[in-house]
Amino acid sequence: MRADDLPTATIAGLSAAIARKEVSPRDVVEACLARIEQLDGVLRSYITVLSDEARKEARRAEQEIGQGNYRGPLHGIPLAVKDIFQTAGVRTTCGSRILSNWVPSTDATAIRRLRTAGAILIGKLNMHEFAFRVAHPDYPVPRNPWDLGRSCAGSSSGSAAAVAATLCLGSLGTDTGGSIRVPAAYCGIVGLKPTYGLVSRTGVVPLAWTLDHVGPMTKTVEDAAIMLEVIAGYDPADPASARRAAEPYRNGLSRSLRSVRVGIPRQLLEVSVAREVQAAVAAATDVLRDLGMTMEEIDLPCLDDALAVQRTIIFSEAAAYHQTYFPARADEYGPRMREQLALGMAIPAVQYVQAQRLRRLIIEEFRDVFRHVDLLATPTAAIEASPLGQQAIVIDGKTIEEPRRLSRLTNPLNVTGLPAIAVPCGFSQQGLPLSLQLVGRPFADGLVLAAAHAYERSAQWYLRSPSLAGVPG
Amino acid sequence: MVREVLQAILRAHSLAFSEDDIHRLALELLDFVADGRRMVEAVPSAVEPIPVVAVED
Repeated sequence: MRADDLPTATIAGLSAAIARKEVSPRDVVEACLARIEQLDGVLRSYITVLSDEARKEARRAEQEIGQGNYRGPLHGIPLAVKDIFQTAGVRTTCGSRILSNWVPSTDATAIRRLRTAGAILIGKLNMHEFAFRVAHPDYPVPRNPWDLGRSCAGSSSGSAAAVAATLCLGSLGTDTGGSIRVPAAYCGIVGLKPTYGLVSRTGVVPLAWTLDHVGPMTKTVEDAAIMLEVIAGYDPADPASARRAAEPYRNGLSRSLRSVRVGIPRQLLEVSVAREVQAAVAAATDVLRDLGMTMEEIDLPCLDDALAVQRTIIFSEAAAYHQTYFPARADEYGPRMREQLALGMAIPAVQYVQAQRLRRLIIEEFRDVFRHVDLLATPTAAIEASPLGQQAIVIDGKTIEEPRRLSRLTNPLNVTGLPAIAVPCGFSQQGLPLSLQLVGRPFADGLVLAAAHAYERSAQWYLRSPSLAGVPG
Repeated sequence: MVREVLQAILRAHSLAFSEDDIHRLALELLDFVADGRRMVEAVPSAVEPIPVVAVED
């Protein structure tokens, strides 16, 4: 196993080789560390690299596997996580100055479950400040491995860049309005936002309690299923945790998809979406049809309401959480974060309550739609990855007046808590990844994964890797 | 009006922003208020907020 072998590696493939003792976890970790050393000075995806700890864990994994104590498909696999997850004895910055030296004493539940499954934590990844829309100036934004002049979006920006460039085999991100799915779309990887309550948020620094989700970011859908199987399941320490056990998501990938009904929301067809994205998603739905699924247009008039609801909730809950530090330590926040928190404090309480009332109607509207269809298919992002530093959203040469409307592709699924996956569905003329989003009923994460897996294996976009041209090696 | 309310809140929390920033933030807050107005119109009076309190044994 050499660093050069990594770009085509997946968790599923490597774990099989590790289980057969053809590949050593130590070699995999060394290959990842070499690749981080070679590439991350430019990509800027890591905040903390855990070289010594990862080497130690790799030795232990090798020993255990050698003694016949193989724990499962994550045993000996190097993963890295967004720096919003508490990690015992390892600083957890949240991409902020406020927590730049915070060293938690316990692991987040999801981290503990990954470690118990034998995964090796190789580092903590870059992100928007407290996952709220913008990066702190202390943390240079990651570069997109497909084009170093392009954005990775956010807030799980480092996770998307690190997985796309294979600086780790998989990652955990968080998603409050699209923060797993949009970076996954921009960087050409898979990002799963599971059903709200399926994966514990204990030990994850909150952005907005009622919208926050934890999920895997990986190269393939099978890898996402492997990770979800480990991190899903009831956690009494998380008040929002559902009393449900993890399912055998990986084994479920091969289920029959004949007669699965896929809805395409008319209202999303009216959103400004780049022509290349529309064409890629249309081609993807043709593939779904070829796989035996049926397509129909459906109505979801609540989508604009969902945008207003999500905005009100995220600003209000974020301001409430940050009152521990804000305004007392206002100067330590980035300039835009400071403004966002000030705005959150100015939103009337009555508006927050109205948002939570309207949210109930939105959930009911989605429930009605899911009486007629099994999945929804939409673009994940309206555009390809935008140039770094570009504020305006430009679609087919036209500047969009209300860029926030574009987020209604992803944020209604945070308002409703429905499972949603981003899966690559082609490339733009610029060579940048495009992405399909599939959405399911509550706790139909297995069906969402199975449909995405069938599409992925048929379309085979996952076989492409970024060339990383221009990165000094 | 929105600008005055925002200024009062910022002052109450000892938050200092430039006049230009306050003007821009007031426009953003106005946008939130417009969202709030639309929400009131969209919700029938019988609808309760989420989450409801779940009482367990």
